[in-house]
Amino acid sequence: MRVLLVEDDAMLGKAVQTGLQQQGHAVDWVQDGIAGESAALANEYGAVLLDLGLPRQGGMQLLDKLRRGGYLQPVIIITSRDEIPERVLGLDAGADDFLVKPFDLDELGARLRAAARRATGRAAAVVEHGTLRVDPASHSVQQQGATIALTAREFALLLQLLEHRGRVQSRTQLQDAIYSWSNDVESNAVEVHVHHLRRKLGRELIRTVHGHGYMIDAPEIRKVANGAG
Amino acid sequence: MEPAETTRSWSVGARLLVLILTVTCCLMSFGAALIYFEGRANSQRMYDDSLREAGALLMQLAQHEIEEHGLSLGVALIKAETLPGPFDLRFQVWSEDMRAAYRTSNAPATPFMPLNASGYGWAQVNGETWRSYAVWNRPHTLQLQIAESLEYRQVLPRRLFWRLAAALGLLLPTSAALLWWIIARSFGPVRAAAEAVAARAPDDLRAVDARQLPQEMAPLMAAFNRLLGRMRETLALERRFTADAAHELRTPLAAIRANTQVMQGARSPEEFTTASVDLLASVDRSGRLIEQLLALTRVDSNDKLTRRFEQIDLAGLVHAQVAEHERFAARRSVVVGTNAETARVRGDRDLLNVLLRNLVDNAIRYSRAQSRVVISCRTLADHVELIIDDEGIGIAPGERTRVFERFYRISGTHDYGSGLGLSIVRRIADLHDASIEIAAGAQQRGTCVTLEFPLPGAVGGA
Repeated sequence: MRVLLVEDDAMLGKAVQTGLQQQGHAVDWVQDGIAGESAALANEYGAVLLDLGLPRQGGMQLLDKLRRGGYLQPVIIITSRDEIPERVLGLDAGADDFLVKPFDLDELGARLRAAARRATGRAAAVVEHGTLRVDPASHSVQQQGATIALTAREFALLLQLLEHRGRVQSRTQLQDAIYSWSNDVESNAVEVHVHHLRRKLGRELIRTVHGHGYMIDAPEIRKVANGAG
Repeated sequence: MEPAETTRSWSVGARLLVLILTVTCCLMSFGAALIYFEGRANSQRMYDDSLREAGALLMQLAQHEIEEHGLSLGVALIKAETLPGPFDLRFQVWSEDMRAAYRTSNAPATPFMPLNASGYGWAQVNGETWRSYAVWNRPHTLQLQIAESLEYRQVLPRRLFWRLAAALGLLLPTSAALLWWIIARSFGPVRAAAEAVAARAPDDLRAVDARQLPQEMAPLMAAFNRLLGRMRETLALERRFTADAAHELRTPLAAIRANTQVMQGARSPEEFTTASVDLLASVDRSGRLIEQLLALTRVDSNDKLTRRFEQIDLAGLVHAQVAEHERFAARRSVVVGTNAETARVRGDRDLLNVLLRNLVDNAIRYSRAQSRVVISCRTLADHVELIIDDEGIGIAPGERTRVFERFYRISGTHDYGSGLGLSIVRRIADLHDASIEIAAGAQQRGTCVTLEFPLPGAVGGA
């Protein structure tokens, strides 16, 4: 998942960025409210991590602005103020979650996944598609019970396609979702990853839509089941 | 409740009650005495009048008797019992030649008064003093003397006396009870206010509602409410400070935790090393923040330390601080110069060292490499001057007063200052009656901090 981190503290920001990268996320990090606003509007992020005490524009103000502008992505507030009114204010302003410093990076990762999951309208932690089983928490992929080893990028790409099943994802969209600004991206990076995924998971899973991009079809059975229910 | 509260305290209510009761008692008794004596004098006049009337009446009767039957030689005794009671009246009727014509049986055989007397007088009857009255008939041939017991004349005054005594006996307890009730009622609001204050939670410092209290309490209540207001402010400041301190400590703590976890999950030796360097820096930063917090608490609690002040030469402190910062300055390639003349001030050595350390540390920290920091002090005509001048990044004019606020950091400086250094400096300067000002440095570059201390002789005069 591509994550936007808005944190003014250099040491904490750097550590959180590295920590989330270790968990397989692509993290863009900005240090003030104005930069945070333009970054959030310029790129498509899976989630935004927002500190409240920011220079130039406070976190709460930024959140309010984003939500008023119809920004739908999950926003998790990270703050050192742990008073209840602060939390209520944050959640009411449109935050999806609230984390008080000092926090655990694993917990932050879990909350990011949960927020992203809710944003895509999925309740279960594990994504299942046919015989494919993808667990974002443990980064594990199983097909017909057999574990399949994927790199972090391949995993991120697969999850991005699965979370947008039935919809075509352009190459730029996919690239944005798995790479942050700091990464030097080869022009054919997405193709290479798709190639590897097809080799590992079979050719039928990811369909090429010529001139547009790639997609994974929505499962037919679930649609019928939904229609019956 | 506590013995200290009850000893040597006195009650306005009890004092008022006793004083007013005493005054009331005196006034009432005085009034009663006045009524009694006036009443007694009136009754005496009334008795005298009736004595004279009785005398005149009896005289007419006696004259009539004598005109009809002539003056008999013997004394006609009139049985006293035949006279209608309750009067104890005795009379004698005398002729010119001192012969008794009539007398009541219980009247003495000798005249009550000398015969030539007339009008009111006093007579001795059986060893008692009686009120007497003598009257002549028109031709001056007969005299009637009448006497009345004083005992009888005491009846009315005595009755008056007892009535007045009864009235007093009833009025005094009634007015005492009434007074007590009025006083208790008047002090009711005061007691209620005291109970309301006593029942408060320890941190409830709202002003006491003085509208129900008597006007006399107003100055005391106003002073008390002002005190509460000051305490409220202090408490609010303290709470904000604690909250701010917790807030400030959380960020470096979060960085420590995050860096530790990054090290645990490091994907490469470089990632591990970077995180460990950052971890160490975060630990240092927390340490410095805690140290500054403690310094600030110490400065804050040292409000009345004037007595520990001694005469100190700032030049010595400047040299010591420069020596202390030698390595730090060398590491940052900053040249520190001094221009320290004798500059004696009255102050606390430890606090002045903290002040200088913070200012010198700031100057070096925010200086560019190869630039200069100059610390100078000197004695002027009316004050002692201490200047720390650097060629560093400077402080924008709009922020030159805000930097003294607690936890204020200049935005854009990604350094890990505690945000407390300058508020500590300001606090110490205040304790020394010194003024502090931030301006641009020489050639409008960097920062110039100027402190002006009063001359050592001028301090402590107030």
